[in-house]
Amino acid sequence: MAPLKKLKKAKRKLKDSSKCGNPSSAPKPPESQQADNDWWYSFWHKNSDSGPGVPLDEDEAFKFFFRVSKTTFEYICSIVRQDLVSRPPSGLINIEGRLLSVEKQVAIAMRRLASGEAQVSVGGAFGVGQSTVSQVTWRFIESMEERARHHLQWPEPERMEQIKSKFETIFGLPNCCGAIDATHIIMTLPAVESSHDWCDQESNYSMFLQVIVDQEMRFLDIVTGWPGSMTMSRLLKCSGFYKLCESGKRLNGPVKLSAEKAEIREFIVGDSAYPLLPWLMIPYVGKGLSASMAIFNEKHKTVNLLATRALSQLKAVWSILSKVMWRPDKHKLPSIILVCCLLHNIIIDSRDALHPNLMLSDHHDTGYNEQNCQQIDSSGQAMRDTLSRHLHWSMVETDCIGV
Amino acid sequence: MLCSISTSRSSPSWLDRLHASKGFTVPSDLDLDHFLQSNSNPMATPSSRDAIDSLPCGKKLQSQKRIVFDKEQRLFDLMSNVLSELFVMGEPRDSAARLKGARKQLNPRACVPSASASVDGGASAMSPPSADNSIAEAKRDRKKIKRMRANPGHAAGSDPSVYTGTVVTVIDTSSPGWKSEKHFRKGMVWKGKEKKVLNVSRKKRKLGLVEKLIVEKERAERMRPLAELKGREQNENVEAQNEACTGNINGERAKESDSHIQIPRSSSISLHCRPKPKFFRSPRLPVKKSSLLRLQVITKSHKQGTH
Repeated sequence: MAPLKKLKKAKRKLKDSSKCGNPSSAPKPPESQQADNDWWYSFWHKNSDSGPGVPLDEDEAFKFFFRVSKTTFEYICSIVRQDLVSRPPSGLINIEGRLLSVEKQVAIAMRRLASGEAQVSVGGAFGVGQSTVSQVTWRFIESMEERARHHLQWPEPERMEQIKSKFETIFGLPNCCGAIDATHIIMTLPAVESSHDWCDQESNYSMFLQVIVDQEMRFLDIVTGWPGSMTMSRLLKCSGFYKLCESGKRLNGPVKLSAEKAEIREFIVGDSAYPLLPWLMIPYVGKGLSASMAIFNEKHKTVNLLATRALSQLKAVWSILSKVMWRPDKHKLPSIILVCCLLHNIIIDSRDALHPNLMLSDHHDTGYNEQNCQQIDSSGQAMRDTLSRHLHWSMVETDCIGV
Repeated sequence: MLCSISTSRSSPSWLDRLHASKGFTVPSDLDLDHFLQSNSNPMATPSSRDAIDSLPCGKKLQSQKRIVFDKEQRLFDLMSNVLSELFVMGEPRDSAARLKGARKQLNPRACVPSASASVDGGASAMSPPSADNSIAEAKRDRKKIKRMRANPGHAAGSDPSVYTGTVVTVIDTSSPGWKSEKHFRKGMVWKGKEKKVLNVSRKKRKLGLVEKLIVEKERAERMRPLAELKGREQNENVEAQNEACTGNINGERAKESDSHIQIPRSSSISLHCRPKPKFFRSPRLPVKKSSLLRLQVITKSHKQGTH
């Protein structure tokens, strides 16, 4: 591994310097000991005129570069501190020979993920080399992968009840637990036979990311790493979530009764690319839909948009996912995607408002045609009919009360 | 030796057959075999040249020349026989045939007879005595290739050059541990890499002789159900591929294939316990058996000695 090599080199350098007996070449104290925010001011002054959209306000500028507020940034540093803290002699050093502080390392990694710029450019902005950016980013990703897991978990029953009640009050869907969608992370690969498996429907090489979101666009469940050549329904069937649902270990909470006293179990919503299952509701397709079907489709669409918008936001905030990656390590890329999802959840959990200048695209998968899975499960169909009749009845009732 | 026998059988008429296959008509009175055999000896070259030069002349001249040639040949044969009796030279007349024979394949593969070769019975004339066997081998090869195509995972074990799909690292927050490695091939996905077997082999290295023998026995017993499992797996993979070809995802069928992909297809299992066809069996197996027997003998004798 590259980081080990670097560490060895650093060790060797230190040994050599100790042999020479030159005290001036020994590593200087970490930057954090001098001033925690020095790195930020030097970075800001260096990059304040780097683009037209850089805000003049310090806090806004911080959010512009790193996507999070200073408070959230400090929280992230606290998560990874024990893994990234530089201890002589193995600590990473910058060009001046100082040990890199945890804050600066986190900033380098987050800037790389946020901008999606080349490692050389990111390194230039911080005054470090490309290899340092590479090492720091990977160390940050490994650390986050382990230590920030609690930000991406399927909710406990108590929390799930809150989510369901929010879905019902905001969107009018009873017992809805979330929305599902998937996106392609595009990359370039060498033209060899093994790359063929990654070639998707639009002839791009891509990796899938499937997410299930709650009413706040927080990721509750993700699956990534599968090649983009699969269909979305196949991706779902390969996921642990599908297996848990099919075996009755997930979405198995208390059922609700419709106006007709029929059972409405826990479910999520997805678009037509997914199969219609008892726990996965897709919209009605075709002409001549009844009133109840139209109402169902309307409500379904608003909830389903949450997943679409969450993925658009993810790709806009963490631009490394929206830019075409050049021959990435396909075993490491899932970790990068996961950490971006963790950071997305941390932003929501810490109630950070996104920077207003951030350009959100209309769709996360621009240029991709919608897939259409025509698999319909009979009990899923019955469940969807019950739900649509219930929605129609409750709408009529509210109209009557209003009159 | 085997080579010389096979070539000596086919040598007398191979030139005729070659001429026939290429469409040359050779006069029946021209003894080309003789010409070739004498040509191997430099002494005989002028006489043979004469014989060739004399061809366009009249029949009289031709017969006279042949008489001279025969006389020379007899003298040459006598001399060569004397020499061969004095020195160990082997059979002098076979030398040319041997040289030619060395170039021939020992087990030639079945070849498709070309149009030019169909003058004199075509394939039957061209094919060597072992042709039947070679055709059978080719059939077997074709079957093997079919099997490999149907079951790419197994093909990888026997031939690493065969493309076996992609190993992907998947992060799934609904699965324990989140991260896992899985094999992927377009339209076919199955779970991979169970490291239990690897641990067993690591243990084995640490174990003593007695434990090793017990493990060996256990493995032999385990191989039987695996052979049955392999047969089942082949059918399942074919099904999965069919599904991928049609692209039609029927609910029930999709469910079936999903349950199939749960069968662990560990590469390490395949290395250790996969029942291979007989002709692929490693020569190590009998060696192990013999060592086992030897061990038993040693322990017995040791016991006898102590009592």
